[in-house]
Amino acid sequence: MAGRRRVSVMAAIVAIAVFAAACGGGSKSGPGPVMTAVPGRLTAGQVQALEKGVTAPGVSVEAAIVAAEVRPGFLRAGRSLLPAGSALRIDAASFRQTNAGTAAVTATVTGPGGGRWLLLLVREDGRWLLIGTRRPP
Amino acid sequence: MAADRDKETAVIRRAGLAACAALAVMLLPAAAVAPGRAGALAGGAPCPGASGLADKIPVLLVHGFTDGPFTWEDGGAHSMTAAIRAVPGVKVVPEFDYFDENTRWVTDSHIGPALAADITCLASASARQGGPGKVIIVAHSMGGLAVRCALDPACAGKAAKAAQIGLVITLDTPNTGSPLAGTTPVKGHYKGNGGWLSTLMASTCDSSLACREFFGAPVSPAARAMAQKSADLRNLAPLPGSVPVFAMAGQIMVTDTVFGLPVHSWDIGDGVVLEDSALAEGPAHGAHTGPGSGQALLSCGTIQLSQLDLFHVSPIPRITSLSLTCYHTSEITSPAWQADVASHISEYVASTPVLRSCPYLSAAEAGAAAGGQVSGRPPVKYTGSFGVPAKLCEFDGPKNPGGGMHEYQWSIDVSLTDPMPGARAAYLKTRQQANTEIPGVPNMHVTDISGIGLAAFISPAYDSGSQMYILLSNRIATIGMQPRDGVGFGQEPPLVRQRFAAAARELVSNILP
Repeated sequence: MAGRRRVSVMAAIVAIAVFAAACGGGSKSGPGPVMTAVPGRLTAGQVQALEKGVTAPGVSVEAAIVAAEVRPGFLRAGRSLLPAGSALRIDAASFRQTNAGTAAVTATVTGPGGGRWLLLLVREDGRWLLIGTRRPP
Repeated sequence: MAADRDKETAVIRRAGLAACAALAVMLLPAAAVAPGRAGALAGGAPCPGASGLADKIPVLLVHGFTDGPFTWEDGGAHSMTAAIRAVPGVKVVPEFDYFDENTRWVTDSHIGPALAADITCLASASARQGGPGKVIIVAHSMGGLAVRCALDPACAGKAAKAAQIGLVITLDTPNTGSPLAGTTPVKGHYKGNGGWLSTLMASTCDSSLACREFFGAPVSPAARAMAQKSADLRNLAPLPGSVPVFAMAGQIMVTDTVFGLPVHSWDIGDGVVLEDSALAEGPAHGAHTGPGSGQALLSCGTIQLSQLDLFHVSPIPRITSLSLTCYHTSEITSPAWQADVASHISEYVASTPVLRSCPYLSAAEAGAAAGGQVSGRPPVKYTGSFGVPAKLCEFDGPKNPGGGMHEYQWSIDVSLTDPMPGARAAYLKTRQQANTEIPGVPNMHVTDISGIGLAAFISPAYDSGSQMYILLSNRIATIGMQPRDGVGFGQEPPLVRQRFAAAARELVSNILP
């Protein structure tokens, strides 16, 4: 029974695919409607806010640039984002919006915690906030 | 591979539907030429796999949303079906198939009601052939909700009975719904309809066909019904408490660090169903207990937030490329999940005696087989001296191969009454033990009255108010028992024990010198 069904289904699929092409609708089976895109760039002000916020004095001040979803965890950890004496420089040109509310941008940390990082950002109330980081590939 | 193709066809077919409903209406009938199981049953045909159940318990596999029966065969020799087949004492019957209706809600006549018919048919066939009259069900995802419907008269109409189920194993069934279901659109929305958790889950499921269906537009009836707190879910009765359940849930952890500092972790269930939902019908408060029951939380592994599609421009990482050992759509092919399923089925079977080579006999047949004489029509009175042939039947089970029964060689006169034409009894040679129950056998008791081993079992038609058959050592007699409909040993053991004990005492006093 299953084999016969598969043959039938395949036949139906071929027909559907042909028709879909003819309709011009395609057969894209993506996860849903296309989201309204937020302009894919990081303003100078946002860059500055992130750069300063990461090395702001005190965990509670740094928390202002951390996304609400992970802020409690960050505050509980009670540790600064970067060692004292570190500095962050964001490469704004590398900013890439990955989804309607998420983005990634590369940055360079100088000082004790030095190195390149990919900052994972989420948009909250019109601002891009830090939700995570990883080393760039 | 074939399974993958079939799964792909499901998606493509839906894409076609969305693109052009009119043509899809024309094309779909071509994909639905195979008659449904319910139709076959309605036509009087026996349910698939209803033979060879004398010494094997039927195992029925029920697939989930946007899936098909082929999913159980995925992996070939390493499929879930193969893993279950390796368990002694079971027979995997043809999978329950609602592929053509797999985005409809379980109330659809091809799903819950058809499943009820299958369960009833298989359980009856098992009983007729001398088996325990029960079915083991393994259900993935929405398949578990189909089982709930099948056992609920309000949902299935002619529902299956709880007593016909030996064990239900659920693999991440969304008993209380899924954050993903029916919340279109979700993906890409930070703090979207389903919140951040559903955003993460949506991000993991980009490569999962089942997930895509959740976000499809328009949302299918099943996806809408499986939304958390949906009216459809509220209207679906829970499984009867007397049904033993082994509930399985997968757990994927998403961890997050900022400059190496751990700041958060999220438990996203198996990516589609959260643990609370998957385990909601597991054993608790004395319900759903019994041989093979339990619950398991299986770790699928941990992934980093940064690995999710949310933070990738392109290409979208396939969930299968992440270091996860399981995911909602891969649980069936996971060796760990298969091992757990097989283990719990094995546990159930081990506790369930199988009447090997022991067809049910009518009282007249039994009397004749024993060398006695039977006269008259039911109620049949049998008077004579006989001993049951030593190997007429053995009470045998995997834990007790070969029987090991205590045999009685003496004989006495018994009064054998069969007040129910067509009623069937089986000869059991009993272990002489003082236990009041055979562990794990809900419809059989062994008791010891005056030092004489007695075994009793309830006929398969017990729930409809039939007779209780009592075997006195190696003789059999029937005694009148009219148990309350729907009451089983698991539900009211004290009452049933009292009835049994009283009846047994009466029997003993009547027939023993």
